[in-house]
Parts: sequence; C-alpha cells; structure tokens
Amino acid sequence: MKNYLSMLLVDRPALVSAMFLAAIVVVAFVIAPIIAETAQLQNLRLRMQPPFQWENGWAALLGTDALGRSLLKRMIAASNITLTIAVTSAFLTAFIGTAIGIAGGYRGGFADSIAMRFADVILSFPMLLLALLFLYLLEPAITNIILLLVIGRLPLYMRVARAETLSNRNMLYIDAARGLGASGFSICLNEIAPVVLPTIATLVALDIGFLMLLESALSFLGLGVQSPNVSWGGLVAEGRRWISSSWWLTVFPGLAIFLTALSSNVLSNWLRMATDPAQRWRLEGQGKGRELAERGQG
Amino acid sequence: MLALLYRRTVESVFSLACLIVAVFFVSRLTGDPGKLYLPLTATDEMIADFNRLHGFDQPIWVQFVKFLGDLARFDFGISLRQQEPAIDLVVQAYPSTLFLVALVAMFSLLIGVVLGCLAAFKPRSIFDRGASILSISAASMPDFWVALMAILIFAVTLQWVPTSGTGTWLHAVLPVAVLTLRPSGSLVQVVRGSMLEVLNSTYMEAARGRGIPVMRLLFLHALRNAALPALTVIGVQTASTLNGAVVVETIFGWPGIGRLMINAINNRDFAVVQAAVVVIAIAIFLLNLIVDLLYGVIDPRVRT
Repeated sequence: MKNYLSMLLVDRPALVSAMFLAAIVVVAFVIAPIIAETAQLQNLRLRMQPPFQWENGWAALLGTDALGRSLLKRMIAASNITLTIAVTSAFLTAFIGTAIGIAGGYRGGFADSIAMRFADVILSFPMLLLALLFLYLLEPAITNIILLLVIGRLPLYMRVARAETLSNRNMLYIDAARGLGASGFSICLNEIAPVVLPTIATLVALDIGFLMLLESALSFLGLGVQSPNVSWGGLVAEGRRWISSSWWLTVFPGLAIFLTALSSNVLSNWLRMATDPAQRWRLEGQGKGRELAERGQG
Repeated sequence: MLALLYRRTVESVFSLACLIVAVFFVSRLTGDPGKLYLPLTATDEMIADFNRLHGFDQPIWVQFVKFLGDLARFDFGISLRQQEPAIDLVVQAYPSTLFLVALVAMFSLLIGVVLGCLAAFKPRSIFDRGASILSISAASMPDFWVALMAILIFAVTLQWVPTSGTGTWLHAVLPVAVLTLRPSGSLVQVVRGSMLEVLNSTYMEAARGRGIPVMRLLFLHALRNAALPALTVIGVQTASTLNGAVVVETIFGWPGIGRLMINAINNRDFAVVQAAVVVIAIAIFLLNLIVDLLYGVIDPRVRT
C-alpha cells in the first residue's frame, strides 16, 4: 500500500484525479443525501440568475434555473444518481464478467464457446443504440438502466478475464496447486483471480467514466433517469432549452461529467502502469523513473 | 482469404440473427405488442383491434414465421406517425448519416495519422504532449455537451456557422467537428504507439543502416507496418461513431438515421425503431467485412 501511495505521489495528474474523484464520491454519497430536500426549493425571486453573483448567497453560486432552484444543489443531488449508476454498473459488470471469463477460460468446452459467441454478438453493436432500443421496450427505470449497462459491458470483461486465464492456465503453479489437491473452483479463486485482478481494476477505473458518459447520453436523450430523479445528463437536457440566454444551465453539469470522466481515465492510466510490474519503473524512484521514461521509450 | 471472409460472414450473419431474434422476443415479451406501437392514450379496445389486425394475438411461433417473412421482404410495417412504410423513411434518412460518418472517418484518419506520426517522431515535443492531451480529453468528453458548447461558442456567440439544419457545407462543419473528436483521439494514441514500436525495431535500424532514403523509409516501411492496429481502431471507432451520431443529429437537427430513431422513440413509432436498428446492424456487418478485406490487402500474412 505504501508503495502505491508513493507511486501516486510521483504522478501529479493521477494524484489530482484521485483527489478529485474522492471529493466527488464524498459529495455524491455524503453531502447529497443531506441536502436532498433543499435541492428542490424554488425561489421565484431568484429565477435565471447567472453564476458568481455573490449577493444571491452561496446557494446560487452556479446560478439558478427557471424556477429559482439552485443549480449547485441540484448538481449535488444529481451526482448521487449519476455516480450510483456508474459505480454500481462498473463493479457489477466487473464481478460477473470476470467470473464468467475465468470460469470459461479455465474449463473451456462448449459453454465457453457459447459464452464467447454471445460476447461477440453484443460487442459488435454500438452500445447506445442497443440501450435505446431495449429501454424503449422495457421501461427506463434505474434498475433497467443498470441492467442494460451491465449486459452491454459484460463481453469486454469476459474477453479480458478469459484471455488472461488462458495464458495462465498451463503454468507450473497451477499444476502445483492441482497436485496439492485444490479443486478447480479453489484454483480459480485463489490462484488465477489475483493474477487477473490488476487488469480488471484498470478496466473498472476506466469504466466508471465510460458508463457515466453512456448514462448521461441516455438521460440527455430522455430515456435515462426519469423524473423526479435527475442525473447530470438530465440537467444538461433541461438546460438546453435556455442555451442562448442561460448558458450556465448546460455548461456546469456537462463540465462535471467531463471532469469526472477525465479523472477516471487519468487514474486508469496510472493504475495500468502501477499494477504492471513490467511498467512500474516509470513511477518509481521519486520521479527518476519518469525522467527515464520520458527521455527514452515513449 | 476467401475462407476468412466466409467465416466472418457466417459470424456476422449469426450476430445479426441473434439481434433480430432478441428484438422480436423482447418486444413480444412485454405482453401487448400493440401497446408498443400505439400511443399511450389508446384504449384497450383499440389495442385489441390492432393486435387482431396485425396478427399479434396468434401463437408466438406463427408470429415469428410471419416476422421472418416480412423481414425478408424488408417490410417493417407502416410508420403510424407519418403514414409511410417504415423502411422508406429509414432509407431516406440513411444517406445523411452515411455522409456524416464518411466525413468523420476521413478527417479522423487524417488527424490521427498525422498527429500520431508527429508524436512518434518527436517524443516529448508539443506534438507528443498535444496528442496525449487530445486523446485522453476526447475519450472523456460527453458528445452532447461538446456539441452544445460548440453551438454556444461558434454559432450563437461568434456566429460563424448556423446553429442547426442542413443546406450549405457550413451546416456540416459543427456536426462533423464534434463527431471527429473521439475517433481521432483514439487513433492518435494507437498510431503513436505502433509507430514508436516500429521505429524502434531492428528492421528499421537495418533499413536506415542500408541507406534507404528517409521518406521511402517512413511511408513504405514504417507506416505500412503500423497500419494494422490503426485499421482495427478505425473499424471499431466508425461503428461507435453511430453512438455519437444519434446524439449529434438530435442536437443539430441533422436529418439522419439517429434523429429518425430518437423521434420514433419519442413518438412511440416502433415500426421505424425496428427498421432503423436492423438497417444499422446490416451496415455495421458490411463495415466489418470491408475492414477484414482491407486487413487482407495490407497484411500479407492474413491472406494465407
């Protein structure tokens, strides 16, 4: 752990991203429930106020909308929904996809090829269109959104976990474990899973951003989170009507999405370097590794 | 080569078939297919009449056979909103989207290859930095937000381009620009990575040692070897440009398949939704075939 912390401190963009993400998580899961009721408060005297007008009080820091509701508070309340969907989908997909991938890769056989066929089918189609189609057929409840995001992203984890399992399956330590009497299930859990985990962790960090973008697009198009709940994408959709007069209603929620997705991408890049022992030298030695990396290989 | 194509075709047809079957069964699964087609205010009587008229109250296997028969004739039913055959609407809207996607593919290829090569030749330079920043930002940007920002800055404030619609080439500038961001970001990464790998390899050093002129070296040897991963990415990114196209067409009022599909979803026009999905699936299957063909052209090892 201490090693990871020092690697994080060396890479400044990753450090900033990690802090930003931690702050967003705190805002979404700790602050949001507290201010949830006051977020819907309307103040018709303060309608359509631009941001940074200090005389309107700190609640109107990012401006207000047509009903005088504070954009800052609505964004905080929406962050709960957005992050819940993104994080839940990411972890669910990782868990289920990795399990299927490892099991399929280890056992092989008919079930494995069937699973990979389905993975290919899902992967070959643009995810947004699939999500739109199936959200139209089922109704756009939050559970359905999470379900569709999970199904859409599952093939990726299945493929990655299966590939790693296949390359590790014939190694000596697996034979040793089998010789010591470990069952197939125990081998998958105790031997293969820890090897696969770092790659999966990198993917999960990436996915939190990706799934957030997808969910925002769905909400923007009207098939995502429905009223009375609202997510950041939905806030952008609401603000779209007044784009030429009240720019802050679209700029700030979208900026939040962008910054969160950006942090998740940067952090995932860092994770990729930190968890791979072959690449770790770039992050070690108090920045000396970084200099070597930048001067030498790309 | 032919064997590879044959296998890919079979796989793609299988995927297409799975998708169509899935659409069919999920749409029947929700109980009343009539409810999907008719507006929400339809009474139960209307729904029952509709079901009887279109054979939705028959056993599911009979329905499936009828569905397949209709599919073979590209008959997706009549759009209830616009009183025209759904397939006609889709075919009308398709060229606009094709135009956008083709332009996007072209520009992202140009930007990706040029910037990626520059980034690989001059590490740590402004190109390298710019390339990394571009690719990581492009992958994190919400399409709809960038589109709205672009409208705000370039159309409303600066008034350089119109806000929406079609007509002159100016109308296409913002949609194409917004859609090009993500593929070019991705492509820059990949081209840079594979060019770096190629440039540092031993056969390049040998070629340089033999005194081959730089230009010929770069274009004939390096680029050709680096092309393969780039081709994969282009194929994947073009398919996912459709994701962005749905959003961008809605925001810019571009009359393509994406906007058609969103309008159909909002108007509960299921015939058009189904038609659009199937046509897009076929287009993607053709795109994958073309990419595989190009693979064979570029990499002789694939041709076996």
